[in-house]
Amino acid sequence: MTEPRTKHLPHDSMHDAMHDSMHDLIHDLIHDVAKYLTRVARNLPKDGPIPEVLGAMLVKDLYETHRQRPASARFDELAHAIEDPALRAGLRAHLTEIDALEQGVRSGDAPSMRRAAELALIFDRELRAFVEASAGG
Amino acid sequence: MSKKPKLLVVDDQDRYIELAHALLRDYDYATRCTLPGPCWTCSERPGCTLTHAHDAAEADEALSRHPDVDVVLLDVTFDVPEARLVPARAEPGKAPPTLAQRQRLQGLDILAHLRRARGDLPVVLMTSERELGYEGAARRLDADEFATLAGEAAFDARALSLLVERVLARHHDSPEAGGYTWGESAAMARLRRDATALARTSLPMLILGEPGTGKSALAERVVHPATNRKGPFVAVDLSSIPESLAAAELFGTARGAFSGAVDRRGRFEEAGGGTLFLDEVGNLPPEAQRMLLLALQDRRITRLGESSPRSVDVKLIAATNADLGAKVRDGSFRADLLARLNPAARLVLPPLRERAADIDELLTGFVRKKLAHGPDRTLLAEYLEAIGEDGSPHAELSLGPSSRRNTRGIEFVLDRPSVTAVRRHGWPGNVRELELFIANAIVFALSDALSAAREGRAQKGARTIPVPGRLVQELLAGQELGVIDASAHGEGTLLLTPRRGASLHAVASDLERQLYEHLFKETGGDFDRMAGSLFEKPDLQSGRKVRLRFNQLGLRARARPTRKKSS
Repeated sequence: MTEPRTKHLPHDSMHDAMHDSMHDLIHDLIHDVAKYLTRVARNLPKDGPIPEVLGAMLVKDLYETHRQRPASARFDELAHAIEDPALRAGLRAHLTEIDALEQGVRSGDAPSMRRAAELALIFDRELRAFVEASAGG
Repeated sequence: MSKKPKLLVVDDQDRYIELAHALLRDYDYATRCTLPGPCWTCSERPGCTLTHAHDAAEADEALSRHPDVDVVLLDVTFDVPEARLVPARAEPGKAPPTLAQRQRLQGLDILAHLRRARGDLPVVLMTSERELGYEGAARRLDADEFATLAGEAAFDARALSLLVERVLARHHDSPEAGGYTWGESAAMARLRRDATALARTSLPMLILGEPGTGKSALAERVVHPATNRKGPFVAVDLSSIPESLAAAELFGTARGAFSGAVDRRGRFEEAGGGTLFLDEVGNLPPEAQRMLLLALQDRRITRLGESSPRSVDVKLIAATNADLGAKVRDGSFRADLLARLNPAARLVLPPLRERAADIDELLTGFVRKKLAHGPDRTLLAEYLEAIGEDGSPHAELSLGPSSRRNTRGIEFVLDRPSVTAVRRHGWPGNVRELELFIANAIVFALSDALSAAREGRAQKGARTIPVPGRLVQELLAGQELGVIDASAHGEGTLLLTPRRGASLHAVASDLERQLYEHLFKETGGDFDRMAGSLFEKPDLQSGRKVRLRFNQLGLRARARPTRKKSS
């Protein structure tokens, strides 16, 4: 296994390099957390039972994602890229709630799974809105 | 189409393949496994690592096992050890990328790696422009016509499926994939409308046109896909089948129907649920004409040697360059069969001389198609390497002055006098002749440019290759095939006349037929003596082999001269 990518970033370089490293962190947040978090959430059937295969994938997305750890753990490693503390706390709260649903999701409880999926989509939407706004500004 | 599109997923983890297996089951998958059947029904699936490719090397392995891959779904970030990454490229004036940067954009390096071998393979990058993030990355993708960013569709199975269908359709219509070039002439516009309208009906279709106008391409690339039928496209060239075998070939045989007959499906049954294309239908012998008429009337065929008919469901397309009306008048073609072939709605492909306005578009399409695959593409890659250029081998043709600013990859340039000469040429061999001409022109020009680059005579980074005017003149003059001058050859030289405008296969068959006819006459029909001329070391079986080939070529042994009986 390779070392976490953040260790390779040039923290001690000049301003451009700092900008690049923040850019990389944001990229990793979107890629490693938001994108993977929503893989099954985007594809859950609107009603009816949730297929077992999707349930197993949802568990992986939420709790065994980046290097077999929960999405929240990866978020904590990268969250300092989000300068707005309120947004950071709001995003973390969604993940905290997802973590709290772990037992229900793992046992195949449909309401827990649907709620976790809903939170994943909200998380993704809010993070991407932040990135868009940052790029626009 | 009968075959499901085949996807190859290249992903360092299992995320995309899991999603695809769970939700995209209308596709086949290129795995590195040899077990049959779809992965989601496989008992070995838990823990299997062969379902897809995790890096460039495994992508190569999967593609070599599945050369029929239709679309690659390619992840962009690969969290794998350095040894498994595509080697880093040194960019002049820039610091080498860090390991993290290489991992983050490894998908783009894998894409460039794939492009070396498969220039036109559609690749969907499972990312968005925003995720790519780097201007340089976007620039690298700009030059790749067959790379598509999935964006939000990356993890939305329904959207991803629609995207894959769009990518497949776009690729199918591209010159690189042999898409049909319609051009802008009014005749072709009418033909397009009529062809697609008739394709959706149950009516048989008749395509007429001079040799080389693209009758079989129209049937295979336009009409068959437009039918939306699930079965295959089956083409039969009736000019290459001996008359005595035509009925068996089309309708199949039962064991014992004649000496050596086995239970075998005919082409009608092979095309079940799909399209049967009968090229050169005017060559059909009388008995096969009768059987074809029954098949069209009743939608049933009977294998030779059987008494019970079988139902068949095929869309029939017949084509010919012969005057079927004249054949009806001289009694060699049945009037009732011609009437069944729907002559009132026939599609007539105009000769190239009547659609000269389309020549430019055809030329540029042929160049892209020619250099998209195979050894010519390798030659182009070698040239790029020789001039120190990186990137995907791709070429465009410019007519008249160079339009370098608008061209990606290598630009071949035909100067104005050459363009004028090409447009004025008569093209008796039609589109086929035009394709051969431009293929020869660019390959010769590329070979010369490669030699010059290797000998240090070319400018570094010379991405424009002029096609010499003299070469164009020679090629246009050489298109006129004639009888070989006997006086230029020694004793025993055989004069053979190649058929103008035919395919290479047809030319070869025709020359072989002429050779066999000549030897048949020369030896008085003695197959053993013919074998003595044809084989370097003839044996006891050679005469029999020659007789077999003689029959396969559609020649008639009964025409041999009478030989004196020994008393």
